[in-house]
Amino acid sequence: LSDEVTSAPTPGLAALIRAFGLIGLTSFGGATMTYFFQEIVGRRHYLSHEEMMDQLAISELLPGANPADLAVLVGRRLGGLRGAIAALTAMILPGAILMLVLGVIYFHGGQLSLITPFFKGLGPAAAGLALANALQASGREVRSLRSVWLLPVTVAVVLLLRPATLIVIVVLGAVGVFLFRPRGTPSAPTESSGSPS
Amino acid sequence: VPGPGSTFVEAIGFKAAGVGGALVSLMAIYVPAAVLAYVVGSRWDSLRNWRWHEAIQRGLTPVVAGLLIAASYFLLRATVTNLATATIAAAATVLLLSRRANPMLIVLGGGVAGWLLYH
Repeated sequence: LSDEVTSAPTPGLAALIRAFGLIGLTSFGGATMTYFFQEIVGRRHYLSHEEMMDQLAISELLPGANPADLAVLVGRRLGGLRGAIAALTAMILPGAILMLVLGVIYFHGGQLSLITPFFKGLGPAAAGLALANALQASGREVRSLRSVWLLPVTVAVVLLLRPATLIVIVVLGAVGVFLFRPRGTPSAPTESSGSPS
Repeated sequence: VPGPGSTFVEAIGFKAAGVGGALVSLMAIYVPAAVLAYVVGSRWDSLRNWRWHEAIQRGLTPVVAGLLIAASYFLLRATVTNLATATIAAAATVLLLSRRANPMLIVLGGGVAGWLLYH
């Protein structure tokens, strides 16, 4: 059991539940990633932007619901096993309860049409947030001239060819990894070879 | 509906077996992937001194950023249907970028605007 990981201020379990509960509550319309960045990186500074991108990359490689994977990864980084369980539960519960309530109403012949206008406005707002978040993340990529061209290439490939996300990240990700491949000192023994900086 | 899209499985579980069914189906879909994510996460952390670790980290971020851009494009295409929804989306983008409001208030504001427009 590894608990020697975290770097920045480690939040308590209650703080984690609060942060992820808020993410779960507000993840309307598919902009979940936005809330991860705004809450975990932006507002609370639990992880650096780079760490969050790293966790996001892993979650894209994993099967299953992406935000749920990300909750487990980030929760684990911040609070070990208990953190992972707390993060996942706190994130999915608010939406799950609401879904259950709507389900009960629906299957009992109730009308959901009263709230649909609300979601009609909520959808584009969430999409706008997702765009803003993506632009913020992209702005940071411009700093690395060696790899920034991969960003528009990724966008073009996804929009034109519509491949599965996993294929995109494996193929284009491999290109990115190749750009930053370690050089010099061939085939050193694993780990112990001390890395500078 | 808020939360990950897969919460709809819960509705089917509810239809089939009531509240208990909803909870069971919800757990069944999350637990296996969550266990895998946990294991992969700890394995990845234990490799942080591996010489390829930083290469993988730095190499994947432009692709992830590109995926975020593409995902927001698909979200916009699905939700922006006319001038009013385009205005809501643009306002949300500008507000978040200028850090003038927190994201929760922005989506709620969008919801209220939608309700006023379409009810």
